[in-house]
Amino acid sequence: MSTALLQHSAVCASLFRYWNTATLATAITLYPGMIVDVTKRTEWFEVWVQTWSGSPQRSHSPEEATVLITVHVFCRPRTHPGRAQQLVDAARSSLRHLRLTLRDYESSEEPELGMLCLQEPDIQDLSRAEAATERLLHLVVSCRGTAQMCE
Amino acid sequence: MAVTNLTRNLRDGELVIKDGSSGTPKSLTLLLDEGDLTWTERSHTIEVKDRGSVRLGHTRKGNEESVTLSFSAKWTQLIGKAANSADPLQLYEFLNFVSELGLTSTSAGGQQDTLRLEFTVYDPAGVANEKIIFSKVYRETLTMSEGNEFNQISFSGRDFEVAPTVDRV
Repeated sequence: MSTALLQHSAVCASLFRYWNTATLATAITLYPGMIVDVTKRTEWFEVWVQTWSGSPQRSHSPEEATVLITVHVFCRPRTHPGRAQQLVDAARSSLRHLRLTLRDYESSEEPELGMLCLQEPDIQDLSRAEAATERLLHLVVSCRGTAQMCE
Repeated sequence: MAVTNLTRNLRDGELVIKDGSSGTPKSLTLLLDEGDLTWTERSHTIEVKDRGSVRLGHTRKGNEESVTLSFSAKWTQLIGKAANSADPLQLYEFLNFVSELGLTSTSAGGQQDTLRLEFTVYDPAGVANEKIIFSKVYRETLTMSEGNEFNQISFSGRDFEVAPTVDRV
């Protein structure tokens, strides 16, 4: 019996590459493991990717995994009150119904591994209500989908 | 150790469908089936009661019954090889005996078109794998349904045998 395992690293690499080209150029993205001083930043994204095998599968079948991408949008609305919502809309439209080819970027030929299909994103506003010295808006865009290996 | 008592589950199974071509039959290994193959071996018994009494009555063997079976699979492409000979066979076209495929029934000419289903259950210990063979499977219903996560093809039919053949492989 053969098994085609879905590599979390391939899902992340493919998604992050896509995300770099898809989002608004002015807002930087902090990926897991990055350390950046954001005290002087007015807006930025933080991205997390979770994968898990939700349902039992045949051992010989190509692996399928559920993927959850979570984008945290941080914005200090100094000059533009609607800027946070703009960033959220950009993130949402970048993720909604996304069909993304998963590739092995560790290999020089970057072979195709499978496909990621995202569904409909959800938006949450986690901004704290109390007044602070400078208000920081925190919104979360999360989108679930399925990653499948090629046969 | 000839036999292990380790439980088997859907992860250990593999379902292959073959036609009746002589030599090398056309074959399709289901890669995205749901692991829900179900078959029922039925037995018909005639109860002859003695003036309504079971205790005084007796039983006789009734007619033989064919095997009922069903399974479902995630729907990918409905038509593959029938549209392009370079493409792989697809479940839908195989089960429908699409004419471009040149499939051969496992039953003699003039009878209902049937296929052979081979269900292999691998022993987790790798010692005593078993192959269950349904030789004359015909379709009763084929249901295609849409879903949120995936679309699905559900097969329901019968194997025109009293029981499948079970072999250790």
